[in-house]
Amino acid sequence: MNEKDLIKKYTEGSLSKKERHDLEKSALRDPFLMDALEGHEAMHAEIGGSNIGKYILAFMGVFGVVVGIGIMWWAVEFKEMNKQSYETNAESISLYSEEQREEVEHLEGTVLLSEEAEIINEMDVDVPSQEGESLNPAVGNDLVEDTLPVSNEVLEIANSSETSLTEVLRDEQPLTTTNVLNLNPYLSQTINEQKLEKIKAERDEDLSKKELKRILSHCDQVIQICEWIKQGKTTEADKAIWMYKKSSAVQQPYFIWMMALKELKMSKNDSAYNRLTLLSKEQSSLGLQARKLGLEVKAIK
Amino acid sequence: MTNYKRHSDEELVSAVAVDTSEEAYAEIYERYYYMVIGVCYKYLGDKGKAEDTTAELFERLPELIRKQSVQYFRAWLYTCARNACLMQLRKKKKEIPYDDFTPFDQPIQFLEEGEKELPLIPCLEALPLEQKQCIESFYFEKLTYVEVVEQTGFVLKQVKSYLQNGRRQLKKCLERSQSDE
Repeated sequence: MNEKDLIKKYTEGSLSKKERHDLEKSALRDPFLMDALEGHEAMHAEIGGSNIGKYILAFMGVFGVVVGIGIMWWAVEFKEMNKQSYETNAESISLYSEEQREEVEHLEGTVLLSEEAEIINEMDVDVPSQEGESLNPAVGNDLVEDTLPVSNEVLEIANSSETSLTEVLRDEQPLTTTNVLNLNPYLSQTINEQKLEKIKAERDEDLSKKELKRILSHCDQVIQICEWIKQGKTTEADKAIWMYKKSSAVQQPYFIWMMALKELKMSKNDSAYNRLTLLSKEQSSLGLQARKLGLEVKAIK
Repeated sequence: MTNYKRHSDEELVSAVAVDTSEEAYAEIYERYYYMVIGVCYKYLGDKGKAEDTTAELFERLPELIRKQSVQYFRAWLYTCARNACLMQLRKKKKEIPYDDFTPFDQPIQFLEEGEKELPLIPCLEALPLEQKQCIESFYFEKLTYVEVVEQTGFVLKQVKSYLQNGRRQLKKCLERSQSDE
């Protein structure tokens, strides 16, 4: 082994004890070798140390980037929240004018919003019907017809031998204008709808695993959020709603619906009303629920 | 093409000085570049500067070899390397004369072999305690520097210093006893 290799191995600590001792012994009578050894040892330590410094710097850099991305993400999220709020307000303004137009039409003998409210209230009285038939009321109204597909699904599942609709809907309470701020009926209804959706999805053999997972995730999230709103845990609900919005299972109408319910629970009636007005355009049972609730909020306002 | 791998340093120097042999110079470079860079790093404490200084020295080396009569190449090169570094540090304020070097120490009889023989024992006993302790641990128990540090509790620099000074004292003592005889 030449001196270069010996010095390299010495600084790396890979020499045997005897080789090490022999080299050190040689260094004692050879100042050139002694200085070379000491220089390489110092260089080795320095480079090793500077590598640690580099790792620390690299870690700090990565940490900084992560924090930066986090801040940017928050900035984007807040911007989106604000944007959505503006959009909701803008849409509600247009809806207000639509409502005003409808009121004018009412004067000309067309369907009244207030009449719709009465019809809906009549329907609500029937909601607790143990057989669930009133969920598919023969009100003869276009709006109610929108609920048919979902109601039929509910009935289908409810009438099956394995699931009792009575059992699923036992939390249901009649909705009146006086207890609108006590949202339990609406929340229960949402929870139960989601439970039924889950059962239906689990039974559906045609669903792909991915789709099934998405629906179940959606249902679980909505159920949990509604439970929290019911219990008045608005902070948890708020976080969960935003998490839900970012999840792959998100359904925009449900997001708006839960936001509205949460705001009502927090007595933010104006904001909730705007959301409900927006949601009432949805051609679904959720849209109908939003319209019902919106009218009640409007009456309270 | 001559293979200089097995040639002595002095033969290589001669080949460079007389025949301006590039192969001989390449062999010198191969043998000593790594050592010189180590020395330069020890003096300059900066890898970049050490590399530059070493490169400059090796660039000038054939010329220096031809100009000076180099007897003990290893010791001479060490002086050249130190001078190059000192010139960097002191900006040419002070330079060690190239003829001011002495050949490195020869092995001290008995000590290098780790044998506590008669001529050595009285000299060893005359050493200061720290030096004696380090010399015994290193040369007779054949421990490494680090092990001597662990055994004695001295720091590494102290151990090296005690060993160097103890060795020098022993050499003087042995020379004295030989001349007395």
